[in-house]
Parts: sequence; C-alpha cells; structure tokens
Amino acid sequence: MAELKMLVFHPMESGLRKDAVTKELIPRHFIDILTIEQNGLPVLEAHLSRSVSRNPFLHFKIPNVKKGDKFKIDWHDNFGENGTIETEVP
Amino acid sequence: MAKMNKRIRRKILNFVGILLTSGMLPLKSFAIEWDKKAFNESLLDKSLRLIGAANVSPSEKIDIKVPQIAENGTIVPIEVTSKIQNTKSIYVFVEKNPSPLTAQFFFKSKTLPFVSSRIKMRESSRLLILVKTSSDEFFRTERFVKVTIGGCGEDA
Repeated sequence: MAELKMLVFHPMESGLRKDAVTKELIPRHFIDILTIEQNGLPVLEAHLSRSVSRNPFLHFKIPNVKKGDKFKIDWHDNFGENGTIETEVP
Repeated sequence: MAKMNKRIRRKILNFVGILLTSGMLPLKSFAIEWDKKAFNESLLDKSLRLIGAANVSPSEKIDIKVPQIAENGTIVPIEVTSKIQNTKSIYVFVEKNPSPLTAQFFFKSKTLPFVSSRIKMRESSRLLILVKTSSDEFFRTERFVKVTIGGCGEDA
C-alpha cells in the first residue's frame, strides 16, 4: 500500500475574486482534469472545479506498489494549459 | 529483508511538484465520463439530476472527515472513505457554492475508494458526498459545515 500525496501549484481562480489594483474580476482559471498512471496504467482520474482550494492538495491510497514502479501525473486546466510529473518509487 | 520490504511498501510518496505549464498540448486523458454540464450547474438539485442521482437514499457506509466549523473557507480539509463494494467514483458537492459540484474522483484498477483534499466554501453549507458503484448505483451522505470566513471571492 502506498499513499500518494501531491501538491500542484495552480491559482485555482474562482472567477469571483477581484484584482487588488484594478478592482476587476480575475477570470476563472482552474485545473479541470488530473490523471494518475502507475507503470502506464490508469489508477485514478479526478475531475476538479473552481471550488478546489488554491494549490490543490490530493491524497490517494494505492495498493500493490513496489520499488521501481513509475507514477505519472498529468493535469489540464480550463485555459488548455497542462503539466506532467513522473516519479519512481524509491 | 521482510522488514525492509514492508518499509518500502509503506513508503509514502510525496510529490511536491512544481509543474510547468507547456502551452496548448492536447488533453491526454481517459476522461470518458467528464460531466461538464453537472460541473457548470449552479443549483445542487439540477446538478444531481444531471448525474442521474436525484433520489438517493443515505448510506452509513461512507465516512467523511470534515471540520464542523471551518474558520477559513478557502481551505476546508475533507477526507472521504467509501466502504461500499465496487465503488467506482466519489462526488463532492457543496450546496451553497456557486457551482456545487466540487470534484469527482474515479478509482481505477485497485485504487482504494479514499480521497483527502482541500476545498473552498463560500458560506456555511451542506456538504454532500455521493458514491457511484460500477453498476451505476448511487449512495449518499452529508454533513453541515459552518464557515466563519467565506472562501470564494476572498483572497486565499
């Protein structure tokens, strides 16, 4: 059993916050899909919204994890931006 | 040796990822059930209807850990564990948020039906958790969370 904890740096703007200087609303900008693969196979998919806190923290529990397993996390946001990170179980 | 293996198994993976954005690459995802309409809906009842869960009876087999009083609505910790067999996905709804459907988690392979995260709450509200099984059956449970300082338009 492995506990997978991640913190993704992202503003997760709700679209309801005002810019401190211009007083204009900051547009919605949030991660909408995040996927996790273990050795190339899907183990989790998260559909998120603007109601998830800034710099999303996510914690999952995955059985059958062994040394050398490769985990890959991909995220995508409503602006079409995306990112990926890979790590190997030490 | 056995002790070492146990340690490896228990090893906690910590990703503190500075994830770089890389332009407009196509979305690589196995998202076949992305319920965008339900996510965009501003009323809880309508959102529940859109996912096909208008009338769902409560279940005691869903554990939720949330504070009764959240001082800061921008960061409300939430932990959900489903003890329902064949849990396929877990939905998190915040009734009083501008878009109540907050998140949906799909558990693939043998991933345990557990999730811990942090969400925003605009004001004191009911928090609804729905569980969908692989036979498309729904279960629900709810809590009321009192929010001292709201967390949607405020600075985090």
